[in-house]
Amino acid sequence: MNNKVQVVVIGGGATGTGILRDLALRGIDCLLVEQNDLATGTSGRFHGLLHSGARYVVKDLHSAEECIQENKILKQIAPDCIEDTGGMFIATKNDDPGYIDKWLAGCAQAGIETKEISPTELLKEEPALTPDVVKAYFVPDAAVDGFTLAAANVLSAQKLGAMARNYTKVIGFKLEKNKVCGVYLKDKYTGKEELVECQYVINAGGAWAGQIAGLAGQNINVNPDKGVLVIFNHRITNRVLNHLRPPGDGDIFVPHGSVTVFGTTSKVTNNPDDTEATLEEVLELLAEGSNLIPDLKNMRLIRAFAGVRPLYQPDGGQLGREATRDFTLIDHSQLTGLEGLVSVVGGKLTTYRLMAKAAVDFVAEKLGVDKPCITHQEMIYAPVPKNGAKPGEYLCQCEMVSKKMLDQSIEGKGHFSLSDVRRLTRLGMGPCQGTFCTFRATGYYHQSRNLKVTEANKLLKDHIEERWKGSKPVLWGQQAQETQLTRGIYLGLLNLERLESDNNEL
Amino acid sequence: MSNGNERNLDHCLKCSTCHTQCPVVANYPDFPGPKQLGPELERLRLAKGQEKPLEIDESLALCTNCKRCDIACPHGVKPSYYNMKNKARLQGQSISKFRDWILAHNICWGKIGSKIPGLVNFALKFPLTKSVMGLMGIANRDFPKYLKQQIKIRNSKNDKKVLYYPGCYASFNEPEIIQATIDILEAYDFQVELASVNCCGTPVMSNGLLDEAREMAIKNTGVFLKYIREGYKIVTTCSSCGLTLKEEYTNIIPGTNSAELKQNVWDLFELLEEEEILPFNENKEKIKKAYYHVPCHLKAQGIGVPAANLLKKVAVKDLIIEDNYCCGIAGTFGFKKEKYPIAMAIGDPLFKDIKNSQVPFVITDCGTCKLQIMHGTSVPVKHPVVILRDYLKNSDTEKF
Ligand SMILES: Cc1cc2nc3c(=O)[nH]c(=O)nc-3n(C[C@H](O)[C@H](O)[C@H](O)COP(=O)(O)OP(=O)(O)OC[C@H]3O[C@@H](n4cnc5c(N)ncnc54)[C@H](O)[C@@H]3O)c2cc1C
Ligand code: SF4
Ligand code: SF4
Repeated sequence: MNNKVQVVVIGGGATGTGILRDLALRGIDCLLVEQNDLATGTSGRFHGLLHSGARYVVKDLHSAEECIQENKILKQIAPDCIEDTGGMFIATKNDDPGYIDKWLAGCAQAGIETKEISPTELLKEEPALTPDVVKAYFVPDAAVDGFTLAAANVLSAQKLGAMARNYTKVIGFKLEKNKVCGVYLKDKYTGKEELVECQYVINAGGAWAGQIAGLAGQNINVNPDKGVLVIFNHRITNRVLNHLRPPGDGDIFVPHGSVTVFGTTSKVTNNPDDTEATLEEVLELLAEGSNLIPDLKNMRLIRAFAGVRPLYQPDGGQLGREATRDFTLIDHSQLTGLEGLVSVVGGKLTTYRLMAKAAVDFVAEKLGVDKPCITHQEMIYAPVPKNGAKPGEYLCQCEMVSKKMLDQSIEGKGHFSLSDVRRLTRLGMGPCQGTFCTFRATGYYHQSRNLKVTEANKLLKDHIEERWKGSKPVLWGQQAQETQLTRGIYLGLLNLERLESDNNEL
Repeated sequence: MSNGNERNLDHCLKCSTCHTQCPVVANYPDFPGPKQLGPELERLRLAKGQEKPLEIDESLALCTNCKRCDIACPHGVKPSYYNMKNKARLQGQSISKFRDWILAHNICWGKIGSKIPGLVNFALKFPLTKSVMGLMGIANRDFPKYLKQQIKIRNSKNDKKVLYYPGCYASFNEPEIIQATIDILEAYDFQVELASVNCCGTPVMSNGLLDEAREMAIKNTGVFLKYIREGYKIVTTCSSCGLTLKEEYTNIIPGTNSAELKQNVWDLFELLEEEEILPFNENKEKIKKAYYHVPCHLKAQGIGVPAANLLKKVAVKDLIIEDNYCCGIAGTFGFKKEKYPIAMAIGDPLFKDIKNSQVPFVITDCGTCKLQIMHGTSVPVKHPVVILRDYLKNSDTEKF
């Protein structure tokens, strides 16, 4: 590996990968480092809504304007990552009618197209909705897949010569005369440490940006804010469903491929790694969601999880939902005089491209590169497209993942976990939560990649344990039965607890 | 998504129990099977919107609608429900094959045939017709012979009233079944009336013509309900007709009407099991040995094997009751050229079992099972009523 690049980007979420691609398109030599796999931070633990901006029009018009602009661009350049479901806002008889007028005015001002539909018509199209709808509007919301988006950004950057390393953690900065001139990295598989020298570092660490900046002795006020989400086994509505009221907990349903992601909550946490969803949080969400989908409590939940928002308040002001969803570029030379480091914090996934543009505009100028940003003009593509296969070729039947897709998802990778494969293919994301595809995929890789038995066992064990973790907060009804079946297969039949397997940090 | 069977997909644990019972899976490894075609793919179909069929949906055509998967599922999922629904959706999208249309409308064939039996029987035997049918995609096999119907009903008044719905097969191919059923019902002191309704819709439905099936269901249900409200019980002797009236109608025309109908439909022997009298001649010598094939659609009704029970009690000494096999014909399935080899492969274990058991004849309730078994074994096949009628106390045979 080349130990010298112009720019190092820290963080493989939407923002960091977007930055990498923008740098590469401007011909800047760059390396991205991510401590886990791509999109394992907040960009893989979010709601999956490509905002139209309508949610923010009343309180945060500027954010709303950015959203609608980016919404249009991303639908153009990243169709592989987006399902253009459309969205709807519904007000029920219990909601404040005064808010609707403010909301409509805000949408008009932000340039977000709204189209009213009568409650009766809407119920015909979306029979799961409450009959208490009094007003309903369509907006251009969509569903976005954060895993695919991050991978597509990196693929596009790599084609232009950029580098990306996952499972590589930044553990320190090399500072010289109040200037950052390199980063110390640790490979999580091998434990090996090394130095990569550079002219500039962009910190796109999301909720971890504060911790990362801390390694350079910088103190920035990132407030991790936890949000809980649950996943239902099927599509409850065909469009994104928003509650037409001031933004609150449990008011968005996003149809995502074959499932529905519902949430969310907002709770300040001091730890960006706090991604546990509790039973209480899930139950509160369900109670709230039942106002929009009366039958919600009878529907099968397959998972619950949490993500951590990277909210940033320069002056230590508002927290939680009151905090701005705008993003901020922090030039550390302005803050403390430290050269060579810029942090980009806050924002939303929907506006990741704008954040990247702002960061790269800044760094390009410092480096004397005057090429403009063209990320809004060039397409990006999923590395593992869905492809049809013969019936026997599907190893994950819930989500129709074929052997070919398994091959494509590990192309060029030395080490990998089944979770890495899952993020690119949806392997194990269906109702059985990996029960049947985990042993099949392990067997397939064992054979096709000549893995050692302990390596193969490690794949199996890690994946099934990861899947269990997410099911725990929703263990009742059908998912509890499913888990019993999983336990029967893995603990009884395969003796999982006594399998000899590799040991590493992953 | 609405309720009812739609939401059953939430209950699927992927345990694959249904696969172990699917006769197509067992004989054709490329068939994705009930679990995948049903609850699994339905989630993805919802995702793709109804307009774009999935590539794999093509294999829906191989589902015989035998419903063994529905009974097998320990969680109450009904995979065949999704198969039927999506077959219909696909049919609506492609130009439906003329052949499927003809087979779905066997009632039309039946009607022509029963009026001019000579003509149809001749036409079906004629080699040219057979090869034209070959071109059309109808497998070269013997079609049911159409017979003229002449039915006698005693018409005595009684409080026990039955509206007998014989269905297409008996009406157009084996009116003997109708007469035998009436004789038996009358021996049990029922007042019998013959239903003047059309085809129940089974073949139309399993060929994916759901809209048409729905129309038939609404019409038929209307007629049945009139009788039911006058105190009649609806009786069938065809397992598929029975299942359709009991179960399918509640799927394709959900509501109180189909629910009321469901409560009042009886398989003939299901009804007779509740009667205390046994109007059969106990002294008549029993048949030594026979083989009873349980039709899939009888199994799916969940009423056990009432005909076989009665046969054992009254007419057959050693009755082999076998419910492990699907004969493979599944209504009109086995008549289709591209499915003929699969149909025969599905039936093969049954054919072997029958041949090995060395019985003089086979008994089964379903007309199309009968055709398939005769085709596959050359052993004669009889409907239970035809046998039991001969054991009635005052039956003609007794006089000799
Ligand atoms: C519950 C919830 C719901 C949300 N819903 C939506 C939504 O519907 N629509 C929307 O637009 N936005 C949504 N957001 C916001 C959005 O998800 C985030 O703003 C966005 O994903 C942040 O992306 P990022 O790349 O900045 O951060 P991340 O995706 O968190 O990326 C940061 C990366 O840095 C890595 N990292 C950290 N430390 C190190 C280190 N020392 N060395 C190397 N790598 C390191 C982390 O592993 C991580 O992968 C939601 C947020 C939450 C919490
Ligand atoms: S109905 Fe019969 S053929 Fe069709 S999937 Fe079920 S078991 Fe298989
Ligand atoms: S449909 Fe029923 S039997 Fe088949 S896999 Fe699902 S739960 Fe098991």
